[in-house]
Amino acid sequence: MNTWAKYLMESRVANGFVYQINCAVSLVILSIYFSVKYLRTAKNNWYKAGFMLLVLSLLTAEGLVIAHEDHRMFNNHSYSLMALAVSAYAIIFYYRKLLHPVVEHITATRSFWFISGLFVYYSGSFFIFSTYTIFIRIMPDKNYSILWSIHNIICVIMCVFISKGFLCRPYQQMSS
Amino acid sequence: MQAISTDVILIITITLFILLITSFIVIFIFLYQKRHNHYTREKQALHTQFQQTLLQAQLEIQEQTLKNISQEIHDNIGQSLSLAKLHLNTMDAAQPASLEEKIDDSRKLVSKAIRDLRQLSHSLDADQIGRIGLLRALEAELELLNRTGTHQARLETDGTPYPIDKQKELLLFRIVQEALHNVIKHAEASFIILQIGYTPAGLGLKILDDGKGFDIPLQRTNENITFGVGIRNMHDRANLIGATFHIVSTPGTGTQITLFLSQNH
Repeated sequence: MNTWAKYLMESRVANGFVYQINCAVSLVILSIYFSVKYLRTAKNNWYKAGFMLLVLSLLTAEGLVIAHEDHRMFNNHSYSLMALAVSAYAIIFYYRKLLHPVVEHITATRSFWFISGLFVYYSGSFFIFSTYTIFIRIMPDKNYSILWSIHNIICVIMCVFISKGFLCRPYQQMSS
Repeated sequence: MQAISTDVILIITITLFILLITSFIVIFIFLYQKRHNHYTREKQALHTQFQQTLLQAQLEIQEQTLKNISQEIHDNIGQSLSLAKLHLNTMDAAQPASLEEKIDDSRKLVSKAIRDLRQLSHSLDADQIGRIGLLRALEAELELLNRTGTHQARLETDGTPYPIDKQKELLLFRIVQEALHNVIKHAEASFIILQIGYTPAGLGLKILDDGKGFDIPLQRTNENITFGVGIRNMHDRANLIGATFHIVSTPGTGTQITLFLSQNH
């Protein structure tokens, strides 16, 4: 997606829609990932229904935000909402793990590192996503590339966390 | 200069923000570890409680078995042997017809005593339930009850029996034994029916009697402690193995105890 967006930028074509597709697809994939995780472990049907309602509400809200945004430029609202949604999913994951602490060492499980990576990236980037457009509006003459450099560092941290996750065993194997 | 200072402020702010997120994860790991330790301790306590209940049930089964054996020796074997002894004492060589009859009767009585002793020796096996299974152990229990002549007990089974965890079998057996003991002691019943149903969903047990019954709420207020403790024990033991326990009784209509052990538990 980034390569495509860069190519469009170099060709002097508006690439905002690529970022919006990226945002929507990422949220859908991560929503499916967290839903599968939640539905697999939750026993109460009311909680399952509640979680699915939350996921559907977030996806609908994201869809509405994207539909009302300007597709030619980067939009902070959809990205901020996505970062908030993924952070909320991760916090729910942490809370559920605290309620059912079955595995002895949580840091030895794959899902912990995956979700911690996602949590660090999305909650860390929330600040950048939500403030970037504001900065541009307040001080349009200034170059805010530093924000994206920091964003890339956070992205590297996420990659490190996910790589560490691949070295660990899945949670189901550890808890059985 | 101003541009540099804005960048520095941004970097510091974001670094602090990331530090906050990292602290959140570190705190989570500490909290998780603390809760895991608590969870492990609780699990161990539950395991110990289960083992203690199991041991208690085993002791109670042995105690009840010894009582049954004592009664059986007194009522049946003792009687048979006393009668055989009487026949032997009253034998008169001068009356060959009577002598032959008495020898024959004595032989039959001794054979009966041997047969009863053999059956009793099976009851003395400490792991009888584990060895022969719940169904046959309950059959033997009802057979023993029938032999006393005070009650008529019948076993009704439905479905194909399947193996159940040995520890659960032991506790189920003890619950039924306790229920039968209560019927004998308090119900003034003539008939007892034990129904066992093996279904794909789970194992169902029903103990019915035609005794005087009792009012359950009244029973609680009357502080019939021994009886109440018996019911609570059955209820607690059923809970411990994940079974449901219900007791239905009204004065004059007998009592019905229902147990259900789900296969998925």
